Amino acid sequence: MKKELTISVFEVVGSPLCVASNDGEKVYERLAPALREDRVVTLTFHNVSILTSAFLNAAIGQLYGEYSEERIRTLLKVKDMQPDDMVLLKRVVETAKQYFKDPQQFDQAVRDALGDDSDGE
Amino acid sequence: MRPSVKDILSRNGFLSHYGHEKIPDHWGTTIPYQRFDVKDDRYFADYIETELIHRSEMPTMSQGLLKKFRGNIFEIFSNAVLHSRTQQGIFSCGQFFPKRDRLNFSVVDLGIGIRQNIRDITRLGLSAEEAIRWATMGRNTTKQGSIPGGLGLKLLGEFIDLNGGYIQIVSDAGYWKRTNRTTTTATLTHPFPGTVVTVEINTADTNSYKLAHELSATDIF
Repeated sequence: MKKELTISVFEVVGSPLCVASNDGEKVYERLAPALREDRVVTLTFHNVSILTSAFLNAAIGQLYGEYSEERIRTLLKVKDMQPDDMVLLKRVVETAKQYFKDPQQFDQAVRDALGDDSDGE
Repeated sequence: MRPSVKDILSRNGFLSHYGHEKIPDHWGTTIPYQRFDVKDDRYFADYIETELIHRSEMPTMSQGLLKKFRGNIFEIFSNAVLHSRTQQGIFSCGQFFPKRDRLNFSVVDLGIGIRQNIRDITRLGLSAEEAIRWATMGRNTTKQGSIPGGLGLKLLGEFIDLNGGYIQIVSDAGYWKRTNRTTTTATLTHPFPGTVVTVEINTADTNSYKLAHELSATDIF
């Protein structure tokens, strides 16, 4: 069995502020090769004070373009996350699953944008 | 320019960039005008911490509100960095209105605007007004290829719906505002050469922003 790996987001980014997409990309560049090698990775958010969806999309969301949900669920763990940051990550993950599942989304988006608002406004 | 607007812009340092006299901010209610480069996210973060979060003049806000507000401000900034293609930077300023319990904060870029960005990437020929509606819907994104997106403005809208403030977006000739869970849009006679996102929050908001039930780390993926 391959050795489990722990990656500290704070150390990869070099800051508690995880805001920019390109900082998220640095985390992705550490995560993706590990998952490719079937290694179990724990991503720790210890010392991270701010997270944005842009950062999480780049760091984790784009994994769904490369790996199956099942593989990510089996190999990737997160820890030391604030409860509301976990909710944000869950939203990012759900959006990413949809994004990579539905290549027709732009067509639908046109109909949504040009038709009536769907939220009852 | 309305005298009240001129007064605020003279206090926050905006007009002094254009040769006007700077009026001292005796009340300590302005969040100074500042320009950032797109690579300045840490400098922007320091500015937010110093001028907004840890300032004694700012109202006491609940920890939940403060964290949500701060997170959403960074979402707006990262949107400008990702999408605007601005060559001239990103600009911010704000104003606290203690009597009304309101705090306004704006992030401005002088980039290509939302309409042009959508047109370039998705080939959708939307009007400037439609383009803002499209960008705020949640599932739509101009991010292409390997990195998904489209969540930032949706999250901001949800926060403002709960808080009772407003979001106003001006981009190109498009105007969009959301308040009281209702969105209004319009087409402006004079387009703005970029995008302005203004958020007004109710600083007396007592919503806890705590989760109804906590999510387990094993339920995320």
